[in-house]
Amino acid sequence: MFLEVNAEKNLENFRLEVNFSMGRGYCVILGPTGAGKSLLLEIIAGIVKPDKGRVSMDGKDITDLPPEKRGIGFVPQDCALFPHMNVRKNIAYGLRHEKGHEKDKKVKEIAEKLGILHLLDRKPATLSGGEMQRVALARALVIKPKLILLDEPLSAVDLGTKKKLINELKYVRSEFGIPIAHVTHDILEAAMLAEEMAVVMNGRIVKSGRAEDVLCYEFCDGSLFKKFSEIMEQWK
Amino acid sequence: MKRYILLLILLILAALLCGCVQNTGKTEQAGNAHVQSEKVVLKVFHAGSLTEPMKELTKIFEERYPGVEVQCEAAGSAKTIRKVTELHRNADVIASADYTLIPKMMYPEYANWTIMFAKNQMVLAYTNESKYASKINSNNWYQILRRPEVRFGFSNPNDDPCGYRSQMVLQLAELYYNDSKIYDDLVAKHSNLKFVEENGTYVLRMPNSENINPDTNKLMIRSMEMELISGLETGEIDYLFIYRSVAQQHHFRFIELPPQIDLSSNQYADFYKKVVVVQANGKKIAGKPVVYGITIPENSMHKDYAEKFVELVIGKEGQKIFKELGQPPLMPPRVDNADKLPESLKRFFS
Amino acid sequence: MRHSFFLILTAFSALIVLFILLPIAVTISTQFYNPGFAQAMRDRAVWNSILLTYYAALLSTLTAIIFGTPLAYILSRYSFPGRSIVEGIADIPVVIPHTAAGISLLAVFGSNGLIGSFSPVKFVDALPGIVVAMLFVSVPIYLNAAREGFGSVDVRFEQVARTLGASQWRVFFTISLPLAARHIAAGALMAWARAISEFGAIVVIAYYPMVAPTLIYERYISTGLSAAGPVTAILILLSLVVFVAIRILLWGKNVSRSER
Repeated sequence: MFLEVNAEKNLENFRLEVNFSMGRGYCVILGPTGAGKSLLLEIIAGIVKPDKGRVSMDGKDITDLPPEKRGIGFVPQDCALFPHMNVRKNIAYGLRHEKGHEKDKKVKEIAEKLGILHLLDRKPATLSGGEMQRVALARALVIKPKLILLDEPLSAVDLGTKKKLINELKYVRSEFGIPIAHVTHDILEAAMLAEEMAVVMNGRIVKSGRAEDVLCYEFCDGSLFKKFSEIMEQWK
Repeated sequence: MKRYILLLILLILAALLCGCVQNTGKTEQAGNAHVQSEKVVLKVFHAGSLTEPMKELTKIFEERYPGVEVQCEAAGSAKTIRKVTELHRNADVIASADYTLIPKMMYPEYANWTIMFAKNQMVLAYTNESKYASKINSNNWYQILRRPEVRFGFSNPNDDPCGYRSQMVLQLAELYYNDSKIYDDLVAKHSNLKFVEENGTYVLRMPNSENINPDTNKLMIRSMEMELISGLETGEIDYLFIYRSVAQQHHFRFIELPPQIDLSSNQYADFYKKVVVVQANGKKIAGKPVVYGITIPENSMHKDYAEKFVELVIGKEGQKIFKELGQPPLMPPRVDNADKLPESLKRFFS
Repeated sequence: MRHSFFLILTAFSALIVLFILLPIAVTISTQFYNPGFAQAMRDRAVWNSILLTYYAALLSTLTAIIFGTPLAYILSRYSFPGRSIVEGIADIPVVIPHTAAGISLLAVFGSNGLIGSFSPVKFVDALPGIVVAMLFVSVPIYLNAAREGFGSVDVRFEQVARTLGASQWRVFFTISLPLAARHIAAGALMAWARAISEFGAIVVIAYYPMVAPTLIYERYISTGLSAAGPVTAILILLSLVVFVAIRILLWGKNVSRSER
């Protein structure tokens, strides 16, 4: 396995105890709100230290590595674009060893691939939800991370943008070949993107594996099927 | 939101209620529940060096007249008077550490009589931690102060009678010990202060306070004498020129200086006159015995109680307190304009 | 209903503004007829003391920024045992009477004090003493403003910056500090102003060299209001000009405040 998380974290009134692993594919972590999905991402990114357990990536133990040494890109739900920098500087933030023109080239290259070349001189506050997601994605991708973490990337955009972004995420996956862990509560989103899947409930992984297997297992459960139908209504 | 408004209303109510409680206290004492009489507030502005005796007197006075609350405000003597003459605040009693300030600054508009009621004496205060504390005595004190590692303090002669009196003591010491370098070595060398002989008197013309320019390695100057007490307590200075009463009340050790120079004795009044300090504001002060003056300003709101308070100060009880606290009372007290005194006070001067 | 709401709002606001403005306006306006005003304007001692006051306040504010910013950051970011005690300590100078503060400082920085006894720098009746007194009374103002500033910066920004390979130092200087800069600048300005106005603590530890508030007091004591008034007016006017200038420079007519 590419990434393995075997960790325990106790918060004031929540307890996360997970045994999560994923390969080099597109892994969707699915679960209802408050299940502990975001916390799991934060443990992987190194922002939160687990109370117990280990995190290893590519066969190396990274539990004690600070976030800046992990090489894991993180796109939080609200994108967290730095408000005092324009888009160009946001994207270039992680490129600090490159020289000026080289840096510029890389920024332009990634911006072109994600279709945000025209936004480079804008301030984050002036961007739409979908544009913000693309910029945040570009900022994480430009440093060529070993893994990208996406926390509910499609939750704050309208349906039309959602469809576009799903296609873009597929493009990113094939173009860059970087493993992606994508957290969502939307089963349809999961179905459209996942190669691998893990289902989180109440701080535990209840099912994980190949996407088809997990999805099949999920749909056997009546309640989830009902929810699926509701979502399908929305998409029509 | 409603909760906050409620809280605000409660606070206001509480504030009002407190006021009521205070009022009822008084009405009961007055024995009449219907009359909402205000407690009489007697304002006494006095020199800083009178703080301790005034505390005692206030206690006695308030016990004797429960309907009166005495509010004392201590400050430098000049500032005390200026509160009335410049800030136009109402005071009922004014007590100054230099009785001459009252006629100089207040006559005729704000007052027109002054009673001299107590004396004081300049001493050199120190503590056990002061350098050469075990060696100093009333004969060698100026030699000790001359030593370069010894620091001493006095208050600002522009602001405070204790300050210009310190200068007078040091200049008188030159004459008394027949050593014409005492003031030079102790003060003139370390600041812009200098006595000049003019027709047999020695005059110190004070520069503006910001131009006194003291060498702070030798001298510590503060506006008021009370502000130097912490300097002596923390060992910032080794010696301090101050009134005997203050030294005694703060339990400092002190050197009594010869009566010829310590401004305590009427007997040497002519000798004291040989030194003069001219303050930056042009006021000229000749050396004279330290005598406290008291008056009731014209703008007093409660002349009746003010007179009772002055009676207490110059009467037997007051004299006893002043004696105990190191400010020997004048027996009998003296007055400048006896004819202008209120009737009730005249009996002390017949 | 709405009408009365704004009416009352305006009435109360006007009262409080008047309350602040009236004493200042009276002080300044009486100076127009005072021949002492022109004289004070030409008096070097007045300008020296004002310059000294501004300079000492600047030193005190810089010290507050350098040593206070890390504490403000810690208080806004981390919880640790004794945190509320540290917060309480940081607020103590606000409740201590200033004369008492001066006496306490004298006990520490005086020639025989804890620090003063071995320090090669002389504090009593010297510039460092003034700075120390100013710092003591103004540092809580800076700390609170800076802490609020860091508190207003979403930790997500810092976390994301670190996943982009930035060290904690780089995150602090490129993300946290710039985003809190407006609060920090406002806090520094207020701390500076507080330092300028300090008298009670300074006069205990350093009567000399004379800062402007001491000079005003001194003029009042030795000559009276007629001499203290002009200096007061000059200090008020000058500080007003400096204050407004800095505010305009920093906030550009507060347009940018609503930017985000």
